[in-house]
Amino acid sequence: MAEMDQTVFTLYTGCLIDRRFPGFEAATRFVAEKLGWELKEASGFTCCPDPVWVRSSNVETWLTLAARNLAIASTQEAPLLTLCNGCFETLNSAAKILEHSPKKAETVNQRLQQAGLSYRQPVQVKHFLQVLVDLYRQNPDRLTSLIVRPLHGIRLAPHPGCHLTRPSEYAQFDDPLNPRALDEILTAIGAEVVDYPERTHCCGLPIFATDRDLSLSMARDKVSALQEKADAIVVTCPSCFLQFETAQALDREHPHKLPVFFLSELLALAMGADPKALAFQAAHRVPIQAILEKLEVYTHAQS
Amino acid sequence: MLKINPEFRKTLSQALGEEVLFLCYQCGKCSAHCPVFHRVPDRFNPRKILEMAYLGVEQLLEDPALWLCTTCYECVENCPQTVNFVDIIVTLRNLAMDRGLAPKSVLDEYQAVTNKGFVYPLTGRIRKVKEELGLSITGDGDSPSFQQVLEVRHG
Repeated sequence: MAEMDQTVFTLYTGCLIDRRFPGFEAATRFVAEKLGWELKEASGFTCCPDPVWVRSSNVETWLTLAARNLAIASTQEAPLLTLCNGCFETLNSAAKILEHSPKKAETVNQRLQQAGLSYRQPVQVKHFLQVLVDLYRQNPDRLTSLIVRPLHGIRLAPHPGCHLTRPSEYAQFDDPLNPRALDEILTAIGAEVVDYPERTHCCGLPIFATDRDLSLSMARDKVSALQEKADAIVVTCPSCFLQFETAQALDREHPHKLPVFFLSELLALAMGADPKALAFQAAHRVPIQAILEKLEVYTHAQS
Repeated sequence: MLKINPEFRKTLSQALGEEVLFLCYQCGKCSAHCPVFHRVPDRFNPRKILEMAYLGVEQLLEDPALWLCTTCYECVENCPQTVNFVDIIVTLRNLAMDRGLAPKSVLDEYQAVTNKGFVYPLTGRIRKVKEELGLSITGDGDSPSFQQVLEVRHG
């Protein structure tokens, strides 16, 4: 198969970005436009669905709904661009499971046929960071030449999250036990990257549904470890974002909070985006003024 | 007292593949790398879950431990025997779900996705933010036909 044009993608926003953090989509669109990417739209997508609880409830439902999203994407003839580690895990794993198991693909296609759909043309699934770091490694200037507001003097702690690189059997991206792609991008946009032993630890979000205190303690341990070391924590997944925000918003014992950023937000700021176009107030409960002031970005919405 | 049920063991090994349960030699590396085990070793121990699955202890399906795995895959990436603990916990959870043993929060999310297509509803507040940002809006039920693919037809 010929190399696909890596500047055209079908955008997949999933649940959480679509319904809770629309600013993350706006930030990503801003960055994509700066990079000269074309983001195609496809209609009819549902939740990926959730690789944890939908899959844990019924594997067949999980695979079928994922295949339905892939079937919709396959009409676009472009890689599917995901902005969430969970969406990446589900859609990428499902695409590979269906590719390797003709029997499962046949069963799923019978179910898709009930809705007049079919999944015969494999779809390449990419996470935003994967595309970005590939581009940066091939041609660093393509990214760095767009930076008009470098993040100099800001200490950022990367939280790559679990499902971006694991299970490595399907993710096939970065080192599953020592991922560094996020560090590379943060360095490229001028930030000081903070290394810390807990960097690959899980944020704990999935078990928020089944044991809230235990779940939040996982995020709080990471935040505590970073309190003296970093100015903010950076995530590539809206679920990790939600978890770090919730863990701090519900924590009355520790008044000092660590700002949380979604990678696209920082890229958009570094590329000169107007903060009003990123809807920070709709997503951030932990105040981010200190960071914006360091970048000399001011917005009334942050008062 | 824990009871071994050969029938349950058979069900499990059929779902996972005959050889999977034999791969684990109980080295405990999964637990050593598990962030949940480190916090609550008495409540969640992947090595023990694998041991009980190997033996065919059916009470596993009623054990609250079943719902404490975050699926972070640290165990899977570190297992010297390539045991996929996450696949095993997912299979056990599917069996528990079939018997009505899943926690309500899990069932609620499953029903939200299978009924509406999304985990989260689109609130008026977010709809307004999306309008201001000029983003396209997908309402609940705007994903035509998604429920048809879940219908199981017989014959």
